[in-house]
Amino acid sequence: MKTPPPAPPPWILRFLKWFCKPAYHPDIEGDLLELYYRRLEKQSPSRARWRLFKEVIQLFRPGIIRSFAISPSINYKTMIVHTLTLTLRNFARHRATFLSNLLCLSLGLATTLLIYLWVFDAYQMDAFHQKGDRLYQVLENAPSPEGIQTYPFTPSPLAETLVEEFPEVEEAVSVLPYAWFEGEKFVLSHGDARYFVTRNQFASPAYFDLFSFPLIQGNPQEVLKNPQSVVISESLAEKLFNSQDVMGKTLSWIHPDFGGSYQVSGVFQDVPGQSTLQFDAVFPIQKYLSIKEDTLQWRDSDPYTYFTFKSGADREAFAAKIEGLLQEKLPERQGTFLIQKFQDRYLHNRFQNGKAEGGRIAYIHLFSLIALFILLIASVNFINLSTAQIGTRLKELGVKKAIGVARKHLILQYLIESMLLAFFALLLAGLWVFLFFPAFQNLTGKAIQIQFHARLMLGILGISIFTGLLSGAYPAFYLSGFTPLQALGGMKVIPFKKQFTRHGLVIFQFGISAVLLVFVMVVYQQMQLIQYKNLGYDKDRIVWFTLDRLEQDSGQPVRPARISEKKIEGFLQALKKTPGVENASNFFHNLVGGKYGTTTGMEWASKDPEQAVVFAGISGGYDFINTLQIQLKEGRSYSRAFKTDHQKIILNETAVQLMGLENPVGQTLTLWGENREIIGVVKDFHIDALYKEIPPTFIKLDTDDFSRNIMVRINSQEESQTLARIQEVYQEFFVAGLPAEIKYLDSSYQELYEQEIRVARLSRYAAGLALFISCIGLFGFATFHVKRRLKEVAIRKVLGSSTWALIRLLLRSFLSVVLIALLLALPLSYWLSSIWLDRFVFRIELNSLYFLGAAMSIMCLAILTVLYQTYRATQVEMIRYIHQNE
Amino acid sequence: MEHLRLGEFEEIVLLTVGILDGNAYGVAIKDEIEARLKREVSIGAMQTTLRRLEKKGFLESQHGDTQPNRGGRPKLYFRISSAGMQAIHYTRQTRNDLWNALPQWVLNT
Repeated sequence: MKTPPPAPPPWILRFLKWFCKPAYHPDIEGDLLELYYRRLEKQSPSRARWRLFKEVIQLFRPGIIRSFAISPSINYKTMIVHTLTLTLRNFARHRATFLSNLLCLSLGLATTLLIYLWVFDAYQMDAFHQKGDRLYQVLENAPSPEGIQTYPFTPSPLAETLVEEFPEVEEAVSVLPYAWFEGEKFVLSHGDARYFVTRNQFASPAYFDLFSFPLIQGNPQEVLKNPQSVVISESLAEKLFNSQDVMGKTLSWIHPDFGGSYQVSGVFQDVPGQSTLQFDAVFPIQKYLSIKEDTLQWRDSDPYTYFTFKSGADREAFAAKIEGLLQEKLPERQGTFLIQKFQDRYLHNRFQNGKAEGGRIAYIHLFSLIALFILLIASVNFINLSTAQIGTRLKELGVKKAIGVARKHLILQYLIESMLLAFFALLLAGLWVFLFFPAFQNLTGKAIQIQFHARLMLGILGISIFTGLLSGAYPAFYLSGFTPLQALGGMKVIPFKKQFTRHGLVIFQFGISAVLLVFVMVVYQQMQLIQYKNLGYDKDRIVWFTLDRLEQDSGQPVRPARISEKKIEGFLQALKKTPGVENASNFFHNLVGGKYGTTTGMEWASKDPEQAVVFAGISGGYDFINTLQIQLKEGRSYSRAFKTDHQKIILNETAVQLMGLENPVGQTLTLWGENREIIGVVKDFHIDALYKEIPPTFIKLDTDDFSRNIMVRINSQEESQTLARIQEVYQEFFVAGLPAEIKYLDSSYQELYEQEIRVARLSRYAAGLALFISCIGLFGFATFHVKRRLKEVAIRKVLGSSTWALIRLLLRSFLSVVLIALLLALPLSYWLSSIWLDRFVFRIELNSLYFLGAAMSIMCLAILTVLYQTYRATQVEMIRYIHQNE
Repeated sequence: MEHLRLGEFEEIVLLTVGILDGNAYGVAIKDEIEARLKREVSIGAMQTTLRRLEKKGFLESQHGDTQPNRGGRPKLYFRISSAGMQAIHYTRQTRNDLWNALPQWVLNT
């Protein structure tokens, strides 16, 4: 059999149909097709097609082209005006539905918008560097007992080596960012006894060339050449010198290591909030390296190394090449190098097994997903409410169909209706965003800048158009498909399949709500655990601050010395005498967040010499244990009464257990080659975040400058006065005019879990919103459902059914839907919650109570939502509905 | 007799419709002209002319049968109306008058 000849391209014929006078069109098209098929027998299809196209173009001439001024069949303008009028009237008639629809959609849109702003803002972090697409950072993977750890610290000769030995690299810099000094307080002054706490960093000369921090004064290539030069920010210049004309002026840095006078060689514009690198002053890294000469080798990893690729360089080949560079340079070093694009550092900030994995990006994904789901729930609502109105709208539809309105015009009408609603909702959403933006910023803990980029605007518009279309599509395509008979004949004809769809929508909504609710409860419980867990010490009412190694500025460059033990002791005694202070001690390590030292240098009698055991070591003053109220299990704490306590040691329970000591107190062990007698054992306490186990720990007595953090336990009365008094004492002992930065230990503790707290709060709002919207959806569903069954209810009532029995009957049909939703949602929420909890070693058990609780509350909420509708249904006038024929 | 005036291509089309006598639809007319006069006829030009002639009342049309190769579209058959007959007669007459008026010696050179 012959294959049928290829049909002509339909678009050519469509074009002809579009412009040709309708009366002429059929036979002209017939002629064209006849010629086309005739040519196909002799010529190639492409040639025949081309001839056809040419002929159609030749037909595009006056005499054949139809009139476009007024369509002979439909008046579009009138139709659209008619549709708009109808739409607005429909809104006005069904005010309750309209308003709840508007509310749901606008809330859904506002949520999506806010989260979109947040996500967009997150992607803008560090995006302003002109060389950003070539700007990379070198990181170091180091093996450790807990697996590979990834650090940003790299050996200081690395930057130079990169430029010299690798042709792919254009420029490289070493930087010791402010964060590197772990909150050390840097003070700059200008000799007139005014001090400014600043964020100082050290950087290589090419710094301002590599990063786009524009210089107002100074040449980017030159400003960091001289070791005694400094580049400061615009606002620091203003503060220090009260002028912008500061080139060549000197300032002094008051610091035991880096102190001295520096000459201002440049001024940069204040660092924007969208930079992860934050600093007020940049010093030449040569200065640092000349003081810490031992860091000039491959042995240590200190500075951060950034570099730019030459354009066109093979980045992957380069990454492979430098992986083993560290061992090449120094075989005894175990680490390897990896590179990461600088701009990606903010979002991809977690590393597992030496590879970037998760981090902030995970939260971005989580909340984008939540936003999407809330938008979906809101859209589903619209669909539900629209179809719930089906009874009243069906007659309108039937009449329209009967008088011959084309299906596409009906579709258009429903789409216009939903687009219009989406547009109203967008306006309202704009208002919500405007109202809730400050609260939202608070919630995310980030100053989000609203920037109206074209992309953002398009995104917003796209989201609302998409929502409008999505919301309108279902009623538009479903309703318009009814035959006039079906539409006029009432709802009896709605097939089961459609009902199933609507149930599906409700199941979807409540499923999502249930998942969110369980998640919220689990997160909440875990946060409660974190807040109220007995840490083994009492973190409430403890404030802490760091002593400054500063002396009064005499106008000369100052290099403060270490603080003497006597001065610290004197200060502590003065504090203890201050009213409101219960106890005070000095200490070394940050008490929260696991920033303690670890060591394998502990030896004891029964130790397996092959085995390296890692101990955590903390140092503190005499009253360290008392002030924190760590429980003593055996023995005694450090005391001023004993002169030799500096050679003693206190262990925690875990350490004793690990060592297998029977009667630990009085026994001797060796720490770093020194014998120390165990004088006490304390109960376990958490010095790390709850993600981790409690390590075996020892507490060492340390009373000198090394432990110059001070903690003070205050009593609960007159807290602010007590703090002011502490401040007074502090300025008496140290520099007047430079107050201590007093922090509550509790809030430092909270900062550890900042992200979790944020997730807890955000998810709470998300779940609340989802539930609210779902309930409105269920309300609409109930309205619809009850209307359908009024006749049934009336008949049952006539036959003697009680109100209560009727309510039960009706409730059953809603609750079964909600129940299915719950059954589907609970396993999913279990899975999600366990993933989230997995990161905590100390975590709540997922017991069935959370799931039951969530299920019960959703059920109750659902019952409350539909109860009114249900009750009203049972109070119908029976006669009216029994007679009803629809 | 101004209303009976025809353009050159109009005349050709009108005559061809007459020649085909009852079989004159788009493709047939095009083929006939191309075969007899050895000139390419574009559908666009022909259709505009046909419609113009119909509008002037020189042609009458009638929908006819269809064939599968026409995509189900009917043929539109044209016939010369009485006004059309008058018009070609008028054209022929005016030409003849002119020919007759032409001096013999001009023709012979």
